[in-house]
Parts: sequence; C-alpha cells; structure tokens
Amino acid sequence: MKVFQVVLFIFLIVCAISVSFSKNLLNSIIIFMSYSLIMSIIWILLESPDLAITEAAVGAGITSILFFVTLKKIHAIVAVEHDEEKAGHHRHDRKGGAK
Amino acid sequence: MEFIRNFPFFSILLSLGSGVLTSIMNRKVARLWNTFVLLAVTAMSAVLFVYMLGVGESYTFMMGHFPAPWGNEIRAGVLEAGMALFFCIVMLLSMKGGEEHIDTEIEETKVNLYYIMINLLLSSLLALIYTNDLFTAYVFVEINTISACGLIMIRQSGRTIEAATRYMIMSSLGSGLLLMGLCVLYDITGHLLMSNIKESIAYVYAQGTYVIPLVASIGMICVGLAIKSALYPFHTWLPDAYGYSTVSSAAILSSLVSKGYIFLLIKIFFRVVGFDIIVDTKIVNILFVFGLLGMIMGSVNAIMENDIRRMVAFSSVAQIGYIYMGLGLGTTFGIVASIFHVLSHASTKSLLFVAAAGLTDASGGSKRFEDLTGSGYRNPMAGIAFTMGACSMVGIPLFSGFISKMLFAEAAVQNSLSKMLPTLICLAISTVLNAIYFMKTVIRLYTPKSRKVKKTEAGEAAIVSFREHPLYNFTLILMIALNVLLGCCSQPIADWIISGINMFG
Amino acid sequence: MSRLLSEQEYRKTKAFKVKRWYRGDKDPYIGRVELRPQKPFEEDVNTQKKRIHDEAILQRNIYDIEHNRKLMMFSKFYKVISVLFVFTLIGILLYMVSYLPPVGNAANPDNNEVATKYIEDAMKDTGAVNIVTGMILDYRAFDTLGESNVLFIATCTVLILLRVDSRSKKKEEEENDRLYEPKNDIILQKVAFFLVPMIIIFGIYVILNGHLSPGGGFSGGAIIGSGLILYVNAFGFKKIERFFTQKTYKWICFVALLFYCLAKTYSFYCGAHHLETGIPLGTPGDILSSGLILPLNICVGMVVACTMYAFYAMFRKGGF
Repeated sequence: MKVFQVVLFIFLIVCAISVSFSKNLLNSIIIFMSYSLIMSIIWILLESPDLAITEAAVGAGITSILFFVTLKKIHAIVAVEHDEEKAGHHRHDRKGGAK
Repeated sequence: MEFIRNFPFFSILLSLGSGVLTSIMNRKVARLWNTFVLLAVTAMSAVLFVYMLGVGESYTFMMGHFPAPWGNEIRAGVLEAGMALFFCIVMLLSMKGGEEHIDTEIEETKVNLYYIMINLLLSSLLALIYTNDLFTAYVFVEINTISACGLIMIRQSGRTIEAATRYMIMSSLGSGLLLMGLCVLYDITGHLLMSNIKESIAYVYAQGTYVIPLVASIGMICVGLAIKSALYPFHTWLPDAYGYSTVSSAAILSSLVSKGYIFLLIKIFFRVVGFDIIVDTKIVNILFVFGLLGMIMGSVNAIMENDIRRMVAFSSVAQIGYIYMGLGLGTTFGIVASIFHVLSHASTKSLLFVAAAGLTDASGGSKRFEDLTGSGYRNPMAGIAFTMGACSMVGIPLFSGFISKMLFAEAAVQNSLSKMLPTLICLAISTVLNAIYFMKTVIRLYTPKSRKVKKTEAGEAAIVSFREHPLYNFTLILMIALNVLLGCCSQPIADWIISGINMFG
Repeated sequence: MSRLLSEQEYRKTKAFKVKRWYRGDKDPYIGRVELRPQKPFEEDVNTQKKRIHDEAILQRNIYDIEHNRKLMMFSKFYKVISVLFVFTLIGILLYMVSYLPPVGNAANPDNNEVATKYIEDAMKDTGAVNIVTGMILDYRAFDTLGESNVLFIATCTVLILLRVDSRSKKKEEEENDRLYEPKNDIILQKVAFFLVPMIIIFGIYVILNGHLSPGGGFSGGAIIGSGLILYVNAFGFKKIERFFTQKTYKWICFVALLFYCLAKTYSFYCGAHHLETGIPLGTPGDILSSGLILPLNICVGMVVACTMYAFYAMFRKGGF
C-alpha cells in the first residue's frame, strides 16, 4: 500500500508540473483531469470518501467540461487540429490561442 | 440575555438572507430593499455600539446549540460594534452617491445582481468584523473576494474585465496563502477558535517546539492579507479596478473591502497570536518596510497619473502603506493610529471617488485632467467636496487626515530611534507628495477654462445646478460632515479605539 | 448458404444491419447526425483593419522587446524574480513542514478535546451516523451557510459575466451553439439513455443518505449536475427546456437557499438562547433522522445541481 501511495504522489507531482509546462491547452486540461482523478484516489487512501466523491464529480468532471467548452469558444481546439493535420494549403491568417 | 445582544447575529443573517431574496426582485425593489437592509443594519449597529459603550466588556454569541470549541461563535466588543456601524454608514453613503451611475452604467437586467453582490459583501464584512473563529473568517474572506470581483466587472468594458481578472488572480494567491497559514496554525494548536488558539500559541511559544511553523504561518497569513488589501508591491490590480469600475463599486472597494482584511489582520494580531509574540517574531518589521515603500511609491505613481480616478486609486496605495506602517511600528499606539487611519481613509476615499464622478460628469465624461479644467465651477458641490477630501488627505487641520497623521507621528515618537526616524521622514515626504498631486488637481478644478482647451465630445458641458441631483449632493454633504466629525471629535474616537483594543486582549 | 428469408426481408433484419455496420459498408452517422463544422473565422474588412492595427500597437508596445529597453529589463527581471520567489516559497514551506508534528501521531496537538468530542458525541448530539455531515451541517453550520453562499455568489458572478440578455445576441448565440456538438449522435444518445437515469439516481441516493454514508448535499448535487450536463450534450437544449429553464433555476435556488437561511436562523436563535428547537432527532441510522440535516442536505444538493448545470449552460450559450 505504501508503494502504491508513493506512486500516486509521484504521479500527482508529475501531473502538476506538466500541466503548467504543457504548451497545448487541450493537453493541459486532460492532464489536469487525471490530476483530479489521482487526487480523488488519494482522498480515499486518506480515509475521506466525502471529499473523494466531490473531487471526482467536480474536479475531474465538471471543471474539465467547462474548460473544454471555453476552449471551443475561443477557437482553440480547431487550431490544434489544423496544426496536427499539417494542412499546408489550408492556412488561416489567424492563429488559434492554443499555441 | 438581553435582546440587544442578538443584533450582530441579526445583521449578518439579514444581509446574507437578503442577498438570496434580491435574486428574484426587479431593479427598483432590489434597490429599495438594499437601502432598507443598510439602514436596518446601521440602526442595529448604532444601538449595539451605544449599548457596548455602556456595558464596557465584550460578549460571545453561540451560533447553534453547541458551545464554542465545537460549534461556531461570534464575538462583539465595542471596537467591533463601532467598526460595523462605520462600515455600514460608509457603504450606505457610497451606494447613494453612485446611484445614478448604477442605473446608467449597468445593463438594466443585471442591476439586481449588483445588489446581490452588495448585500453579500455587507454580510461578509460584518462576519469578518464579528467572527471569533478563524475558519469562519476564511469562508467570509472568500465571499468578500468573489463579490468584490463581481463589483469590479459589473460595468462590462474591456478594462474592467481585465481588472477583475487581475484582481481574481492576486486574490486567489492571497486566499491560498491565508488558507495555508490557517492549516499550519490548526496543525500546531489543534484549534480554530481564536481564544483557544491564543492559549495554545502562548504555550507552544513558551515551550519552543513549533516556533518555525508558527512564524511561517504568521508570515503566510500576513502576506496573504497584505496581497488582498493591496500593500505596495502587490498593488498592481488596484488602479484599473478602482479606476474603471462604476463609482459605488470603486468607493466601496477602496474604503471597505481592503479595510475588512486589515481589520481581520489586526484581529489576528491581538486575538489569535497575541501582540507580544507578533512583535517578538519581527514580522511587523517587514510590514513596516513595505508600508514605508508604499507610502512613497503610491504617491509618486499618483503624481505621474493623468486620469483623476486612477490618481485617487494610486493615492489609496499610499494610504494603505500608512496603515501597514502603523501596524509595523509594533506598539499599541501604532495600532490605534492605524485603526483611526482606517476610519479616516474610508470616509475620505469614498468622498473623493463620489466627488470625482460628479466632476467627470460635468466634463462630458472625460477623466483626463485637461478636460477637467474648471469643472469645479460647473458642478460646485462636487468641486467643494473634492477640495474637502483633498484637504483631508493632505492633512489639513479640522479634517480627519490631519488627526491620523498626528497619531502616526505621536506613535513614531514613542518608538525607538531606528523606527522613529524613517517613519517621520517618510511621513513628511509623503505629505509633501500628497500635497503636490491633490493641490495640483484642486487648482486645475478651479482654473477658468481657457479658449485653447479643446471641447469635449459632449460639447461644452452645462453647469450643474445644486438642485439637479438632490440625492447626490445630500450624500456629499453627509460625507463631508462625517469627515469633519472624525477630525473634530478625535479624542473620544481614539479613547473608544483604545478601550476596544483592551477588550481584545 | 441456405437462407430462409428472401433477400429483401433479410435486408430489414437487425442481423443484416449489424453485419453491414461491421463490414463498414454504411456509416450510421450519415444523414442522421447533424454536425455543423466550425467555420474558419471570418471578419469584415473594417474589423480586420482594426485588429491588424491593434496587433501592430501591441507588437510595438509589448512584444517588441529588442527596441524597448525598459520592457526588456522588466521581462528579464520578472523571470528571475518569479523563479527566485517560487523556489524561496517552496524552500520555506518544505523547511517548515519538516518541523510540523508527524501525521497520525497520538500526541499531536490536534488530537485534543475538540476532535474527541466530535467522534464520541456526534451521533448523540446530531443524530447523524456520518460524523462529517454532522459536523458541517450541525456543529459548524454557520461556516457551511457561508460556504453555500459562496457558491451562490459565484453563480451570480458568472451570470454577470456571461449572461446574454439582448434578444438579437441571444439568437446568434443559439445558432452558434450547434458548433459545439453533433445533434442526434446515436452512440451518445443510447449511452446517455442508460447512464443519465443511473447517474441522477445515484446523486439522489448520495444526497438522501448524506447523514448515513459518505457524501452529502454538495457531492450529490455535483453528481446530479454532471448527469444533467450529459443529458444536454446528448439530447440538446430543446429537450431539457421542457422541464428546466432559467425560471426553474431561479426559483429552485431561491427556495432552497431561503429555506436554508430561515431554518438556520431559527436554529441559531434557539441555540443561542438555550431553547429547544422542537425538531426531533429520530433514531440514528434511519433515513428520516438527524433533525434538520436531511432537509438541508436536499437544499444544498438542489442548489449545487442547478449551479453546475447553470455554469455549463452559461458557458455554452449565455443562457438556458
């Protein structure tokens, strides 16, 4: 169990650092989601199931959905897709906010 | 228990509940209800204040069926009651002074949301004043922060939204530090109730076991609250937030929101940690240095500003520097001076913001100094009020600013030489700088407009007669009266503050 | 292969459809899913000119570091200071943590009479088996009242920022809304058909059992809220507006919070004056027990569920 906890804590730190250093906002949000999920497992290990339920519902669920909607609204997700496709002929003069 | 002792509880719950009630009201009813709530809370606080002066000792009020370390508790003393009364009066005056602007600057469908914010802000300020429990304080700090954010961005322009974002980021940092500090305090004492923490801390400090966490937590709490109340290096959110929000918001934010946090900090000094330990840990010296820096730098920034609202906002930075400098002196006398300056700054700054709004309206809505030339003739009442406020800020006798500066100087003289000299020098420099930018503005207001000055967009603004805005002018008169009252009856007020601080201990 | 059905009848059976889908002959989405792809950003000449002008100013004043000495100094200074600040803060915190009492030690200062009484007497005092709920909704109910108002005021702030009130803008927003999701996505709809009732029932369970098992108003409300969001995603705003509109939201929040405030005012008043509230605690362990905790949990749950859904609706199209 101790090993499991240590692994979780390491994951947590890695997630926290990579959220802030990720260049792509979409990736950051997905990593943030996994951060919340790990956090909720840690809450269970710390014997506070109340918090774990809330963290899973709010942190991993609703917050990330709100982030996704916001990204879509500021035209950030589309820009990512174009970057990945490398569609050279289809070039917008306006770059998305994701990069 | 006497019925009057319920009043703190009633006023908190009334304002909290009316926030919810306002959500279904329309604009006009919401405004009436808000006025009623403010008046009712003012009346209750006044009665309580008079009662407390007679009784002469503080009492606690149990929130719920369980006694203090287990349940919640609020505590009222003479200082708390007086502060609540004063905050309510200033809030009422600021709301009334900016009422016309609320109608014109805010979308019609969102006005009732504004009143929700005001009601909840009032309740959080009252709870911060009366609370006897650190976690309750934290919860209401949160309400205070979010409602302040709403107050900034209710006038939806790019500048205010940017200002609100900045405010949110800085405030979140402050809240985070405050929460961490509280967690550490809980970890080393095992209590959240202020009086119990004080006992445990005295014990812990004598034992010497957890001194480092104790110092770190006090440091985090101080820095957190300093960020929230815009002490000098953390002031970046302030000028935009005060300069572009609607008038009532600016007046309330500058005179009440930051003061609520400062009052909480003073309460933490006396009721939670104990003032001797605070002085012993040397944390006050850091506050002292940053307070001095703020006094000078805020004024320098204000001199360079070309926008009247932003200038007044930067002057707030300087005045908050004064307050922290008083806290940093490390004597009870310094604290008394700080609390007096909280009062005097709150009354003066709201007056200045409301008066500035009248002047800018008389100049076609422009806030630039060139366009404000001669606006003191166009809106005489606002011109007089602004001059009075400026006099008070500079520290001319008869006004409240003079008394607070005198108290600061007296407190400094009683201190050791290493703190006395910097305080007096900075006071002198800051007063001169204050005089430079406020007198420059006043002279500008009463310079007759020359022909070279280009016309504003609204054309030559008409002269605003005294009868045109009766509510606005009446509010200004009341604000000036409050200011002069603070300046003339300083002795009883100082006595009241001292007795209140004695009740803390 | 012998075939009992004729070719035409065979084509109508499910087996054929599954097989066809499996082979990839026919895409079930074609003609059924209405997804409007997001158009590339278009703007008229004037706004474009203005934008280019603004960007040029921005470039000159903010990003042109080479020609702006002050800015260059500031950005370097800022970087150095921020890194230094973060490392100092981390250092101080780590140094401080090493002096804190060890976790789970019986001799810690926080293992005192406060915690002991909570553990020993909570069931007797509040009637709640779940001590945490007993603490937050009975012992320290004032904090929780403040906390639920934090949520309320957060929604109000979002309303200020995002609510669209003018008619024409509202229509525009609703048209744009189709960009964010496919309409009539079968997979999503079928999954939602099974999941939404289960999620909502689970949320209701968590709320109603708040005083008996882990959970309570806030977590249950968040679960119901996420169920509602899934429902909107699958079936669209038209369907949910049959039972949940802005008015419903307003009244649910109003009634729940007002009840909360009034109930707690009554109970605080009685508590401070040492009066009996007259609310029976019941036998601990029953669903109808622990006095005010159950109704308060329901109120908090309703407020939270509505708030979560309201956030989503506000973010999507600035209204319900």
